[in-house]
Amino acid sequence: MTAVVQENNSAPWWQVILVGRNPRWTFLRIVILIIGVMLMRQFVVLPIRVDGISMLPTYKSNAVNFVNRLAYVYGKPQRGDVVAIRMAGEHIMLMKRVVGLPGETVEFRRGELFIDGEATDEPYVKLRSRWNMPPVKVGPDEFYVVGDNRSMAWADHKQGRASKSKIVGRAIL
Amino acid sequence: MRKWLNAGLLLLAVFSLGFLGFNVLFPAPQKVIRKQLLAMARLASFDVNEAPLAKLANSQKLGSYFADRVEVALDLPGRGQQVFSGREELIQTATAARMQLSSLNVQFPDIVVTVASDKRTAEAHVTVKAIIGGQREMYIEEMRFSLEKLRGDWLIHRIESVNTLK
Repeated sequence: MTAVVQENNSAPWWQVILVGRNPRWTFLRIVILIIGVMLMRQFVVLPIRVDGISMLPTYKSNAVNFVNRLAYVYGKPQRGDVVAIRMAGEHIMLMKRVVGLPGETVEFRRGELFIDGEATDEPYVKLRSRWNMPPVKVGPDEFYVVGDNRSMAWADHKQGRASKSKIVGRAIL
Repeated sequence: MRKWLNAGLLLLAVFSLGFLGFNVLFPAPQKVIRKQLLAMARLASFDVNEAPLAKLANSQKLGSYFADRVEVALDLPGRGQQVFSGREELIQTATAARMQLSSLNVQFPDIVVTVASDKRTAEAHVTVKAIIGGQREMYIEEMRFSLEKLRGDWLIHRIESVNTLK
């Protein structure tokens, strides 16, 4: 028994650091780890880096976050959810907050959000300006999304109706 | 048994090499278009030190990616819809932009190419990221490039903005 232990420890220290005591097992572990990370990224959680000011002050530029891809497999986005919206692919996505649900009418009056004609409280909005937008009806498979930074000029702020198929998932942090 | 296994492995290696070689020599149209668009993005980018003659030359070179009767309809933030038609107008606009802006970095992080069954026309759905020198915010837009194969080259005959959010 002692002899076996001595044999296992016989590998030089640098080899143990680099490839472990059993290189085959180390290689297998690395392969499993890489495949696991790729599967996680593809189907479960997508790491993202926030770039831009449209979600201030909730998310600052360069902040790291994760998107839960499974969030809407069985359910639908809810008002207040921060979601990632796909463009041509997933290398660059829009990060916005859902404010309007399917069938609702969304409107902005002097910076205040109105859903179906009623003023809606938005505690996450800290930066405001006097946006005005005539009522917009949200389609049956659409969600109205907008950023938290309402101090931006209306023309510079991407917001509008996103189809559910374009919503990749919900921001975790 | 070992002999058969070796022969099988050798055959597999030959087939793999053949497949790889075929793909390198005769790339799929999707691959060609993707490569071409990435090259176009690099050519559309310029830095502060670009010489005036290089500005002209690169704008002309950029024009070679487009068909004679190209149409460009873009929704630019704060500028509304901008429409250009014809390669000459496009080259002039590109040259003017190169003269006015200090620098521009154009990238296409996502390109999804669909080739029509006739293999003569194709559509590329592209995410365009542009950083203009001196501006803090980057410009991000989804665009659709329509291409057609003319005299063996894939040329862009239409570019239009796609509204990610309606």
